[in-house]
Amino acid sequence: MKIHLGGGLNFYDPQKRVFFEIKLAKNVSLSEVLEMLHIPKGELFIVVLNGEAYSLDQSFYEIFVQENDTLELYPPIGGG
Amino acid sequence: MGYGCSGKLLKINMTTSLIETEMFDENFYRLYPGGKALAAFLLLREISPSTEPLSPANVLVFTNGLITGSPLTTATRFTVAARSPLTGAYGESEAGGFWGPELKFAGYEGIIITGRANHPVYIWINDDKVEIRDAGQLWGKETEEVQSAIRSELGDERIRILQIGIAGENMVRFASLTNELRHFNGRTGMGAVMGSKNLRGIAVRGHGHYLDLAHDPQMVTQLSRQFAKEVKEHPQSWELQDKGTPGLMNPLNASGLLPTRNFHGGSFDKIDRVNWEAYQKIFSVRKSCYACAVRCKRDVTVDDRYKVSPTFGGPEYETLAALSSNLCIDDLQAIAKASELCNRYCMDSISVGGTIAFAFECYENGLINAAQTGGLELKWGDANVLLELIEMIAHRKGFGNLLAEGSRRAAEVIGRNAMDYAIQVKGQEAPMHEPRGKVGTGIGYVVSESGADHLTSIHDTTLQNPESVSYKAAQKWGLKEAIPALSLGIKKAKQYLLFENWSSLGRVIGLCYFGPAPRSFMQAEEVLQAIKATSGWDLTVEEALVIGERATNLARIFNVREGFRRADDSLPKRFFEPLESGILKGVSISYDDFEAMIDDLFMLKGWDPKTGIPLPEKLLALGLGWAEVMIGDKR
Repeated sequence: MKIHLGGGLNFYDPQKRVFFEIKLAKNVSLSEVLEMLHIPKGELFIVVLNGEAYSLDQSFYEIFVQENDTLELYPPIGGG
Repeated sequence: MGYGCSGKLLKINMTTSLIETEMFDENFYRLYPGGKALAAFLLLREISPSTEPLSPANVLVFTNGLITGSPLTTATRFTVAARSPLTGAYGESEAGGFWGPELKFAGYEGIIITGRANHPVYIWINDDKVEIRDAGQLWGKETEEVQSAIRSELGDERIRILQIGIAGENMVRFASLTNELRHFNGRTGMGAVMGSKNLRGIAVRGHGHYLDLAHDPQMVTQLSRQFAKEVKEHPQSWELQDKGTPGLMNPLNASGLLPTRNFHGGSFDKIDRVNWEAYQKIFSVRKSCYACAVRCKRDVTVDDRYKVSPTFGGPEYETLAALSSNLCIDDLQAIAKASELCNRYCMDSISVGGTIAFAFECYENGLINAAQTGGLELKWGDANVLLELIEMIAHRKGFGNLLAEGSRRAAEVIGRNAMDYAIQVKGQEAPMHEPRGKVGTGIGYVVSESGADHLTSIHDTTLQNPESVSYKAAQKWGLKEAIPALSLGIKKAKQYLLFENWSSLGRVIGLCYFGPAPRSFMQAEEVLQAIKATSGWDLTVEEALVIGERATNLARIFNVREGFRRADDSLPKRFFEPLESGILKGVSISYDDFEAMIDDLFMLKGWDPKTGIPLPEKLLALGLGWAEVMIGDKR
C-alpha cells in the first residue's frame, strides 16, 4: 500500500518517511495502520483514501484499507 | 541589572532633519513591552485623527519587542506601524530577519519617523551616531543594488538594511519593506508610507549585546539552548523546520481549506504541480532569521523557462497559495518568478494575489475588458498575465495603476457589483485561509484592526481534538473545552479571544507566530520563563495575556478615533455562500449566527456590541483610562 504522511505526521514515524509503501498481508482497519506507523489518533485530521477525502468522525477508524490502496494522512494546521 | 530593554527610542523629523532620543522607563515597559503595544501607543500619541496616510503628517514607527534580539529561538520580530494607506485604519506589519535585533544591539527599542524629506534619503544608525544621508542615487534602484551601495558607501558589509523597493517609492498601497532582501513587513502598505516620506532605507549597525540588557543572562542562555533542542522534538516546529511553510499546501488542500479561484473553492485540482513535493524541484537552500532554530525560510533557484534568483527568498505558503490555487495557476516556475518580483519590488504578495484574483473575476464577468487592461486578457490560470500585471502594479503602469490602489478602491472605480469580487476586510485582501472551514479565522479577519489577518488567533481546526498535542498545550493557556472548527457561538468567541490575546502577546514581545504552542513548541510556562529571564517580571499566564489584550485595545482605540465602527467588522459576502470544491463543498457560514457571535465576542471583550467601542470600565481595567478622552465623545 502506498502511504503519504503529510503535514509533519512523519514526525512520528521512526524513519521519518513522507512517501513510502508497506506490505499488507490482509485488509486492515485505519486504526491498525495508525498503530503500525506510530501515529497518535489525536493528531489525525483528514484521510485521503484513493483520492477521496474523509474528515474525522466516529466511523473514521473503521475504514478498511487493502494492499493496492493509496492512503494520505494529514494533521490539522494551526495557521501561518 | 536590565529588564531586556534600553528604553531608548529615536525620533527623527524628516522635514527638519532634527534627531532626538526619548527614554521610557521600566514601569512604562511593564504596560507596553514593545512591538505592537509600543507602536499603537506611539501612533495614538503622535498622529492627529483623520491624517492622510500618505501625507507628511502621518507618523511611521518601528518598534522592537521585549525579547527581540535575544538568543531565544523565534525572538526576532519587530513591528512597523502607521495609519495604513490601504485601509485608513491602524496599519501594522511584523517581520523577522536581522534588522530588529541589530537595532536592539545599537541601543534602540524603536524609531519614530515624522514629516517628509525634501529629497530621497536614508538613515544611518551606528550605535549612538545617527545621520540622515542622501539617497538620490539610490532612488529608482532595486533593493539588491541599494543594499550593496549603502554597505559599500559606509564601508561595512555587516550593516543591516531595512528598505522599501520600487513599489514603495511609487506608493503602491500594499508596498512592503524588506530586510536582508528576503524578510518582509508585508501587510497594510507600510512601504508606501515610507516612500511618501522620501525615506528609502534605514541602515543599522549595533555593537551592543542583548545579554547586557537582560535581567538574568545565564537563564536566557540556558533557555536558548533548551528551545533550540525542543524545536527538533516537537511535531509542529519539526515540520516547519523540515518542510517550511510550503508543507501546508497538501494538508490544507486535502482539508478543503486551500483558497481556490478567488475563494470560490477550497481544493485545487492541480495541487500536485504546486505542492511541497513539486517545490523540491526548485528548492535550493534552507534559511533562517536571527538566532532561530526553526529555520522555516526557503530559497529557490530556477534556471529554465524562467530565471529565478535565490536572493529574494522563495515563496512561502501565503505567496504560493495566493499566486497559484487562488488564481488557478499551476506553473510553479512562473509562480516562483512572480514571488521573486513581489519581493524584488517589495509588494505584499497576499494583496498582490488577492487584487489580481479580483481583477480576473471582474474580467470573467464582463465588468472590465481588454480595452481597459491595455490589451491583456485576464484569464484564470494564465501565468504570463500574472507576471505582466505584477510589473504594471509595481510601476503603476496602465491598468496596474488602478490595481496598485488595492481591490477595494479598484472595485469602487469599476462599480456595479465589483465589490462582490473584492475579498477583503477594511480594504485589506484576505490571506490564504478559508474561514468557512475554520470559523475562528473568519473572526480574526473581521475584528483585526489592520484588516483581514490570519495571525490574530490560533486556527480552530487544531483545537477540536482533546487528545491532540495542540489542545493539551492550549489548556496551559486556559482553554477549557474542545470546540468543532465549524461551530459558531459564544464558546467559539471565548476560544478566539483567549488566543487573540496569546497572538497579540507574541506581537508585543517580539515572538514569531512559529514559536509558542499551540502553534509550535514553546509551552506557556516557557514563554513566561523567557519573559522572566529577560525582564525579571514574574508573570502569571493571565497577566501575560492582558499585555496582549491591552495592545489590541490600543489599536482598536486608534480605529475608533478614525471613525471605524462595528459595521466595519464584517466578512465579504462570499464566505456566506457555499464553497464550490473540496471536502467542505456546500459549506457556508450563517450570516446571522456569525454576526451574533461577533456581538458575543464584543461583550466578552468589554466593547459595546453596537458600536465596537471599548467601554470605559474596560479601559480602566487595562490601565488605559488616559485614552478615554480620545474616544469618550464617540460613544
